[in-house]
Amino acid sequence: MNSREIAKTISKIENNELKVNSTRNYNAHVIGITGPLGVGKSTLVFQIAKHYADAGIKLGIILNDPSSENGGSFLGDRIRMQKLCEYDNVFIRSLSAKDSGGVAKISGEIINLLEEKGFEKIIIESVGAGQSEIEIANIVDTCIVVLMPGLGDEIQALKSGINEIADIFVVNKADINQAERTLRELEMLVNMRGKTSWKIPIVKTIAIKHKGINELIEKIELHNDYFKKNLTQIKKSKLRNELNYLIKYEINKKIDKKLNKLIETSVQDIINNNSDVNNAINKVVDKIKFES
Amino acid sequence: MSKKIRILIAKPGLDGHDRGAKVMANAFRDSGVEVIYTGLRQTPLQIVNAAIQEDVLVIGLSVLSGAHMHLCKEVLKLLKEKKAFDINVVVGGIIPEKDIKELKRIGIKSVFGPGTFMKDAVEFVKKLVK
Amino acid sequence: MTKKNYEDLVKKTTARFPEIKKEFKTNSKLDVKRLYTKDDVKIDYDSELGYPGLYPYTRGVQPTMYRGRTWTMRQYAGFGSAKETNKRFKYLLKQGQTGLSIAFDLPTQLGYDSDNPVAKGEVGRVGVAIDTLKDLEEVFNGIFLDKVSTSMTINSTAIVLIAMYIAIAQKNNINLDKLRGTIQNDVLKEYFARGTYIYPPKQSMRIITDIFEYCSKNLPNFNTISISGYHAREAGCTAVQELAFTFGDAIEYVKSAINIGLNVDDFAPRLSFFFSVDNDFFEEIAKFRAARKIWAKLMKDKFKAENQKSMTMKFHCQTSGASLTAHEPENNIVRVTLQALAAVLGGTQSLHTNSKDEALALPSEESVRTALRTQQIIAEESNVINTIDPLGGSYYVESLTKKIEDETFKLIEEIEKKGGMISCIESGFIQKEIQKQAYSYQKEIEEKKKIVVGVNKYALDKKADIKLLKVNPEVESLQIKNLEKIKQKRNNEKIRQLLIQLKKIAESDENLMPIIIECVKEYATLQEICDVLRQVFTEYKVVEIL
Repeated sequence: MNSREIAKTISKIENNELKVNSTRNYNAHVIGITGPLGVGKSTLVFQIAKHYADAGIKLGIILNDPSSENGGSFLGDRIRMQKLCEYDNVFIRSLSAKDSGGVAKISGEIINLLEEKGFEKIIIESVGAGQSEIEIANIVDTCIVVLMPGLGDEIQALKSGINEIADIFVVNKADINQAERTLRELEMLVNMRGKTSWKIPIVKTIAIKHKGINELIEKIELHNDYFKKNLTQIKKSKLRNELNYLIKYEINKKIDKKLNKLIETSVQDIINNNSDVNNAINKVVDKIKFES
Repeated sequence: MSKKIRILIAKPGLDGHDRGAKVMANAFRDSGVEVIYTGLRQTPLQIVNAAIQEDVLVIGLSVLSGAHMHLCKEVLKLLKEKKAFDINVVVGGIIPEKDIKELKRIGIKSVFGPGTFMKDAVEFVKKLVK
Repeated sequence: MTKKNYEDLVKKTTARFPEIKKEFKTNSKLDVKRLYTKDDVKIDYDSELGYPGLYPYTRGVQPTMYRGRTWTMRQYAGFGSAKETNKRFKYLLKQGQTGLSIAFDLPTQLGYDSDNPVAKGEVGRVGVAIDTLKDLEEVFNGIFLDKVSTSMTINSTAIVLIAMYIAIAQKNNINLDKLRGTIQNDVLKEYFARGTYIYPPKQSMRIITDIFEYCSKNLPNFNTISISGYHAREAGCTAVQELAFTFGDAIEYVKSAINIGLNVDDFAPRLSFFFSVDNDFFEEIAKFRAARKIWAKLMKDKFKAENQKSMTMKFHCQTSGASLTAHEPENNIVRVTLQALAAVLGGTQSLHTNSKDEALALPSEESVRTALRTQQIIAEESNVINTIDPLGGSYYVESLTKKIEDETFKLIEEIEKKGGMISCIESGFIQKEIQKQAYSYQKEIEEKKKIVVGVNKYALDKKADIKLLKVNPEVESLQIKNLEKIKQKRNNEKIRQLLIQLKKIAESDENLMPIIIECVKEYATLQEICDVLRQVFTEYKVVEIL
């Protein structure tokens, strides 16, 4: 299958014209990269990707960019990858992620497609908009959370969720001030997670200068071994989360329109003193329960 | 939902003047198009591979250095080789009238010169892919 | 009568005849009032305006300005082969041009030889192709370097081109202190406005300060940098941003030079500037007046310069390329005339006037002549040179000058707070700002909020029909053949040795200039030298932000 066909198939998935096999065969190793805006995710993706590309590994890269209200978007992450564009063994695709969760909803399907087509490594980069980018962890094998020094608030926020998803932490731009502090904070965070069979490594990198990349690759590979060894167990929990996300997504989509109408009616009712907030909530919930 | 339009905007060759390319990228984005922007100093091979992988309907090239003839020919040649000649190519830049005729003859769909209105270019592209 | 009477009168008049626009703004979106009076200009004459040739230089950098000598008329030229460029230069000198200005093709600007595959289609296109010293010797064939001043629009590879210029002088026994001219050498703006960067900012700064150091000792009459706002303006930014970005860059250069141990007064007198002159007549004049004042203040207060020459901002000016239209090219002559007049009233030291056909192609000989004549008519027929800074004291111009100064200082401060220009380039802040303006400008034209005569108003329904310059298509193959010949004739073993030495020096912190001069004298190619530097310095990874 050539890249033209793969590309066309992806478009069909994007346009809801096609559904592909939605279970993985786990032949490929899927690496996810997430973290706040401006930490240098794309440069890091490039460095990791270049390593695998140079080694002749068949590599797929999925880049997520945010999309705007009217459906238009700039998919600009590719700029940093263009050098890889001349490799025969690399396929890069940009997606506009309208959905929350930091990755386009169809990312999972695209991973499956690429895996089925014999890609050995698949790297997926999230939008990097905020703290809610947890979805990526459900669809990848190795989830890398990238941070940089001086992100005090973000680290606080990490405590409330995103640290759950990290298999590897990266402190990029490690040559700027406060790198040690960030490192220490992360170590505390990792220790708080208690005893697990996988000890989350924290890697310092300066992606733009290719510093720390080899160590990072080493950790990625170590995690891959761990992942493959514990596949049955991990698979279950990933699948659970993934289903949780996708089902909720579908339900939400179904009820969203109706919900808007019901809320409007409730607002009118409350304003006209025909109902109060609690009453209205119960009424709406009842309705939805029956109708969906 | 209507089908997405995806366009790749690139600057082939060595020219570094990207005002036009970026202004057009903004205009396309604001009209609901997904714009893949690959920036400066792109080789024809990088452009064509990117266009294929991203499955764009249109490639927009911006050239102000006078190297348009060579670069456009290369892009079209590679599209043919890779059996992707159905991807439309349009060009913007400072391009003499005589060259415009030649570019259109070899398969460039349109050439947008200085003074082109963004809305006209956007409209042209949207019609092109209908 | 009093102001009150006037205001009543305006009220009455506008009630019956409303003004043509709700609000009047400059091209850079600064508010413009209906009328300016002495109430708008509450500035202290001596400290804010002063006298020509004296701090803060608002009224001009020389005591007699154009009464002593008119500005340098310098038309940017260069295309095709060295031979053709040499011919154009001799033509321009014969027409009365007083300084040369060389345009280089893109491969030369990016450190690639003409035979590199990436150069295909680009050789000799936007300027002359230079692979080895041989080419530059050809460009200056029959032109005496001690008799002309030469400006070279070259940035990332400036160190190689200045080395070649020095080599030609030395081969012809011309003393280096006789060399006059300017290299653009402003790499920072390449990252956000012009695109011909090679190395990362830090390494670029090292090359630049090496040039500063070498030239401050050996080429005392050569401007080692032309810090340029022109390209950012062309890319779409406002007048205030043009100044703030330029001075922001300047601050980085000065800091770097001081950091390597240079004394500010040793190199600052050789810093020069390059601005655009756009359509908004008074705004541009005010911009130049404000710029001189800002630079003087920066140098005195921030960098503690003591030499008056360090505080005088000398600048070259080019009329706006972005304002030219492909429709009705002859209209461009009028645009250029107004812009050129603004540059002169703003006190420029040197001026390039664009040719009418530049929205269509490189200019033809005939259209370049008209552009040059435009300057000559301003200088010799209009009498605007008779007195210095003739708009000084105009309520409007003084008020606008102050406004631009204040706004620019504000933006400079904001940039400093964000860690300086290099940080702002790396974060994409500057690129974003420029792009926002460029897009909104184009939207305003399409919505007819901004009028471009012949384009969105009074447009004709026919295409321009003028004779355009055609670049000889054989230049590329000829250039490659010549390069091959040179490579066979030269002492390749010696060059190999020199390049190894160059690598060692690049890895150390020794000055790069002397070794590069040696390399070019042996006819090492531009790319051979740049490849060594690329290997040591690495290449810049672009931050593109949309």
